[in-house]
Amino acid sequence: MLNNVRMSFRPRLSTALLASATLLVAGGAQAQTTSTGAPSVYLKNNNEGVVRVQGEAYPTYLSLNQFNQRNCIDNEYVTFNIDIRGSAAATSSFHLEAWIGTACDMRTSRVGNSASCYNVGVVGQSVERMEIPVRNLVGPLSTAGGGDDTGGTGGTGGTGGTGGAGAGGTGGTAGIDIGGTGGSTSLGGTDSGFSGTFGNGGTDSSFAGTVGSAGTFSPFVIHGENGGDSGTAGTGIKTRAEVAGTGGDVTSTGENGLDGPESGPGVQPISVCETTVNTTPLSRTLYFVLVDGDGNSPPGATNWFAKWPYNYDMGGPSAPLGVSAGVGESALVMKWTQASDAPIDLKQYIFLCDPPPGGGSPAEAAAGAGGESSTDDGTGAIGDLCKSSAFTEGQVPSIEVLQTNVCGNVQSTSTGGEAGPLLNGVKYAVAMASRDSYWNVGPISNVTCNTPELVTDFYEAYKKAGGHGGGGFCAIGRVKTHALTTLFMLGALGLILRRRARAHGDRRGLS
Amino acid sequence: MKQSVCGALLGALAVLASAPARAQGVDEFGAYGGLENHGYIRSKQEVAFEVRFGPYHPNVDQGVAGSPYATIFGNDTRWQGGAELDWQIYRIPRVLSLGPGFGFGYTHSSAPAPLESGDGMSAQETTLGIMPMHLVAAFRFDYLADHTPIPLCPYAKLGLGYALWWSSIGEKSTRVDDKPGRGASYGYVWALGVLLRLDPLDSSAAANADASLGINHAGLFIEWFNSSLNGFGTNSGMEVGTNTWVAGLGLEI
Repeated sequence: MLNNVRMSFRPRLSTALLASATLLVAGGAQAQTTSTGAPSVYLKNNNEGVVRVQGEAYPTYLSLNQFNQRNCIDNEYVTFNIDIRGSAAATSSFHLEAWIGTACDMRTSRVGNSASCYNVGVVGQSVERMEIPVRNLVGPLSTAGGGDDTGGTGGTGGTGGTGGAGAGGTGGTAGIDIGGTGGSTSLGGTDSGFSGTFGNGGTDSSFAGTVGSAGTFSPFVIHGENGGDSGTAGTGIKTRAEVAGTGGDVTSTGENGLDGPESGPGVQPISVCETTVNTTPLSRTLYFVLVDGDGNSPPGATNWFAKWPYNYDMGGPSAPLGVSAGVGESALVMKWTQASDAPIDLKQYIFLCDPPPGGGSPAEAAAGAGGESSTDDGTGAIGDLCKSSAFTEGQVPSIEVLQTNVCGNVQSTSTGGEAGPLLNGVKYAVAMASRDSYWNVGPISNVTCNTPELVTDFYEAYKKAGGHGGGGFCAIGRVKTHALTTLFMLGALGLILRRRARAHGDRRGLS
Repeated sequence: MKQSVCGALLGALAVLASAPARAQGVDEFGAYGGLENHGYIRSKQEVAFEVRFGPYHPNVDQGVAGSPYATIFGNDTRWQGGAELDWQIYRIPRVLSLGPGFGFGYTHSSAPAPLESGDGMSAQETTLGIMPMHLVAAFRFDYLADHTPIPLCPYAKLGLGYALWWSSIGEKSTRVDDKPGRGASYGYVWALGVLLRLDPLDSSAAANADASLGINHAGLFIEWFNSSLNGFGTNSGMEVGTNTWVAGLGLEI
C-alpha cells in the first residue's frame, strides 16, 4: 500500500519540480529585461539610503522614518540616496522627482486639478541624491499651481501670521502683501518649468515679493505661501534669522520658547511645526518617481518609482493637571492627574526644577533663590508668587530647560513621583511636562513651590531606638551559616525517614 | 474572636452532619455516593499545599527602647499572604502524616514619614517590607476525619523561621551610617491548627477531583502561628516575627 503511494507520488513530484524550474527561468528572464532595458529606481530604507542628522535634539532611538517637532523646528534636511538603474541611454531623458500624497505613482495624482500629491523635490538628470526638508514632509498637502505644461494660475499667497507682541502685526501685513503679488504675477507662464531648471528658475524670487506658484511642475509651488511665512513669526514660533520684509517680532515675549532657522526658498514655513498641527502620529508616503519633462514614466518600466513611508508627530501632549509638590527628604513628592485629552502615545512625564538639581544652597534659599521672589525682597518668600525664571506655565520647554532643569521622570501610567535629587532647605519651583513616543515635549503645567526637608524614616527610628538589625541581607554571615546547617540537617532527616518508610513498606509487601 | 471561630466550626459541622443521604455505588466513572470515602478510589497522597492569609503585626518594638514601629506605622492591621508546601514523607494512611514543610509570605507596612523638625508629616512614604519564611516539621492527624463523621484534621508545626526585610523612604532604600536598611532575621516558629475537610459537602466531586487531578482532600484551615525571629534570643537582628492567626485553603495531593 505504502509503495503504491510512493510510486504514484514520484511522477507528481517530478512534474512539480519541472514546473517550478520553468517558472524560475521565466522569472529570471523578466528580471534581466528590467535590469538592462527600462530604467528602475531603488531606495534602501536604512542609513545608506536615508541619511538623518543625529544630535542632541534627535534621540538616537527615534526611528529613521519618524519625525518630531524638534526635527521640524530645527529645519532638518533628510538626504535620500536613490539608486537609478539602467543603461545611460535608457535613463538619459528622465529625472527624479519627490512627491508626497496619495497614489503619487499615478500621473493624474501629480498634475491637473484632481492632483492629490505635493511635490517636495526635483533633481536633474542622472542625479541620485536628494535633500528634502522635514518641514516639507510634514507640511500641509497643497496643490496650489495649475495647469498642465503651460503653467497655471499663481499660487495663493499665504495669510500673514498673527503678530507677536509689538511688531508682529506688521509681519502679518507683509505676508498678505507678498502673497497677493505672487498670485497676480502668476509665474506659471514664464516659469521655465522642466525645460531648463526644473522649476527652480523663472521668476522664483519668492521672498522678494514676486512669489506665487510657478508652473505645474515647479517643485516649489509652496512659494505662494511663503509670503505668509514672512509674517508668521509672531504666532508663537520665532525664527533665528531676520525674516524677509518686516516680518514678525523675533524677540516677542509671547512666543512659546521654541526657535529655529528660517525656512529657505521652497521650504514650508516654520509654522507647520506648531504643536497645534497634530499631537498624535500621522502617516504619509514619500514617492520618488523617475519621469521625463512631461511627467511621464519610462515606457515599459515597472520599477520606475520607489515608496518610503514615514510618520510624524508635531505636538507634545498636554500638561498634567493639578500638579502639587509635597515635602520629602532630598526630593519633592509630585502628584497630578492626567489631562483628559492626553494622546494615545503619551510616554512619560518629566519634572522640572528651578534651581536645577544640584544647584542652589540653603544660603541661597534664605536669600530667595529659585524664582522671581529672588528679585523681590530677598526674604525667600518664593511661595507667595511661586514662579520660575527658567520656565513658565503654558510654555513648551526649550532645549536649554530640558538639558538643565529636568529633575526626574516617570512613566505615563503614574500619578505620583519624586523630583530630585534636591537639597534640603532650598526652596524649589517645580513643574511638569508630558512627553510622547516621538520625544515631543508638551507645554508646562502649573508651577508650584516647596522646600525639601529632613524626615525620619522607619529604619532611622529603629536604629535610634537601639535596634541592631540591618546592614544588608548578608550582614549576618555567621548566623546564616548556622541556619543553613540546620536546614540541611532537617532535609537529611527527612530523607532518612522516607527511606525507612519505603524499606518498611517493601518488607510488608514481601511478607 | 475565639468564640466566633468556634461558632463557625460548629456551624460547618452541623451542615456536614445534615448532608442528605445518597445512593451509593461504583460505576465506570468510579465510586459515588460516599463509597469513595471508604478507600475504593484513592490516589497516592504525598504533599499538602496551603494558601495562607492573615494579619501580620511584626514584633519589632520588642527588644528596643521605645516603639519605632508603632510610632511610624501605627497600630492598624497589616495583612500577609503566602503559601506552604508540606512533604508528607512518613504517612500511615488514614491515620497520620509527618514530614518537612516550607512556607513563605509577604507583608508590607507604609506610612508618611514624620518631618525631623517635628512640624508634622512629610509627603514621603516610609515602608517596611517583610518576607517571612519557615521550614517546619508538620504533623497531621487524619484519624478523626477518616474514621469518624467529624471531618477535622488537627495539626501541629515546629521549626525554623527566617525573614528578609527591607525599608525605604520615598523611592530610595533607606540608609543609616551608610548601612542599608535591609537585613535578615531568624529564630523558631510553631503553629497549631485544624483543617476542616470539605469532601463531605460533595463526595462525588471530591472523588472526581482525586481521579482527575490527584487531589485527595480539600479543606479550610485556621491556625495559630507564632514566630520568634530574634536570633534565638541573641537580639542580633530586627524582630520581625509575629503571633497571629492564619487561615486559608489546604489541599492534600
